[in-house]
Amino acid sequence: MQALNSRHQLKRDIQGWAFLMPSLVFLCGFVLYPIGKAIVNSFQKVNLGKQTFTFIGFSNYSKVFHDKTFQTVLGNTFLFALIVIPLSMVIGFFLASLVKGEHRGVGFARALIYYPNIAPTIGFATVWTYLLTPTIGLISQVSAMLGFPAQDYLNNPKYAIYTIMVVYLWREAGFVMIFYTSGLQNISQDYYEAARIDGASPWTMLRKITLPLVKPTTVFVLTCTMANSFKMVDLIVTMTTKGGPNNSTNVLMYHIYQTAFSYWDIGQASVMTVVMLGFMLLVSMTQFIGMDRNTHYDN
Amino acid sequence: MKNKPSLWMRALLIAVSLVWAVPLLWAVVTALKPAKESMLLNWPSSLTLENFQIVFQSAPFLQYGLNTVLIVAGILAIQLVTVTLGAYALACIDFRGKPLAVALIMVQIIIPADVLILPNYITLRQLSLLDTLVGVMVPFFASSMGLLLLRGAYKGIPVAIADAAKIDGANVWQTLLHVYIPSTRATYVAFAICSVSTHWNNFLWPMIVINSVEKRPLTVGLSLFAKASESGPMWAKVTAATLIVMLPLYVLFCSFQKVFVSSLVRSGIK
Repeated sequence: MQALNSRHQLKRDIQGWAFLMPSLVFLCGFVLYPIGKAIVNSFQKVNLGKQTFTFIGFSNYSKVFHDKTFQTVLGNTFLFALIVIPLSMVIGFFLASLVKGEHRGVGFARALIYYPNIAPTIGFATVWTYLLTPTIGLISQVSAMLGFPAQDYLNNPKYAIYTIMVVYLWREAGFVMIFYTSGLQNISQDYYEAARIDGASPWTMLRKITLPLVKPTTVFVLTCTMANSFKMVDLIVTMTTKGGPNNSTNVLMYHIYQTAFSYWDIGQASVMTVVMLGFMLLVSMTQFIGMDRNTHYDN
Repeated sequence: MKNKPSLWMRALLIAVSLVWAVPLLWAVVTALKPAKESMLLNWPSSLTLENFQIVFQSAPFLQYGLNTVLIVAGILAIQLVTVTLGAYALACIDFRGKPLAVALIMVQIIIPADVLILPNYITLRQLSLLDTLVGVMVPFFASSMGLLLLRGAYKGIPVAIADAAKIDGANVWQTLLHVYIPSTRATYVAFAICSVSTHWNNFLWPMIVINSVEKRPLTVGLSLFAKASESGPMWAKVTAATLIVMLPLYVLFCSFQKVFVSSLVRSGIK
């Protein structure tokens, strides 16, 4: 009987791993292996043409961390994340509370707010560049009509990154909205009914009913928006000239791309990739911490 | 009262949607205007489809579109296979070493392939897959998000139903095909929409991998088209091109948006 059991177990083991094999092959080849490779390459001087990989210790690290541009880039990346993550979540939540119903016109409104996530960002980033063109762009013309001086928002190092943030929020808020819409629809109306009978104010209902019940959504959305903000690169490619003016809009992901594929410095680009991997680990920890609190809440 | 939104909520919703729609409306108007008026803030003197015609003549957008469709469909087709098999193993087979498998899968959730452009580029180079559509697709053939989503959905199916199928003599494949896949259709739709819209709009990776003009996807083609036309009179063309690229996916989203939102609820992405 025992022999039979272990034969069955062995059969299940083989079947289980065999079914997972297709996924695991690609995960190992394009996620695990490259992580290892980036770490190894960060300690090497790499010549892709000759395919030579020479070990040089921490020299890439010290070069990268002493580089003024890299320091600016890190600063920009954090500034961007710190402003964009909370704002996209608050705006997205607010939008979701407006479109959570299923009455007439709501589907249309959702489509009008969500389209930046479906439309090619490249195209609409270009459209934004046109809107922002000084003097002849729509934004300049309208602000001139209202009597405000027109600004060259994208070419002024003081405003450029904030301008990118506005465009980014225009896209990201709709992304957040869809998930919160779904989360809000999941909350039974009975809770609000009961609270209303007890005379709770809308503010109390938001704090005591809505926010605790959408907590899983919040944890999920927070993780996504953090990862998205670190990955963002398409707006920089399209709306700025190589992270300019004066690197004021250069962020880590773009700098990796630049270092790897314009300067072909594989070693230093690998160091930056390792830094990026560190950020991503940090992001995932928020999810675990969030889940942990969640289970406490359930108790 | 509880289901009907108040008047000012409605007004607010209209105002917000309009603000969000400004770039879209501007793009539509500019694309339909005669090109020489595109810099003016006027109501167009006449409407024309000329700009769309010029776009199709001056860049191989049909070819770009075909490439994008091939990439998106190729990724989705293979993902559906890898994800279905993997999720079945995770949800329904009791095998040793499962925690290890889950840990391996979590790594991709934590570190998305978009961040690994450099080492993956070197891998493609060694596999001689640079400048091929397969090279654009291959890092995305496995999807941890899909695996976890479907595992959740499969677990939600009562064991009794699967057992009933087994008693009726169904093998693993028949159970998958006739029980698991049909009853988790909503999760498949949600996953497919996420996958398609991600890869339809992916830009950086194909730009790095593809060199030949005839293999470019829409996003890369559009970006080069836009770069080549920075002066004002070109606005009309670029907006027209943008709308062309956007239209297929937008129609898809609008027709599925209710299903999409409700399947997110059911699939537990929330």
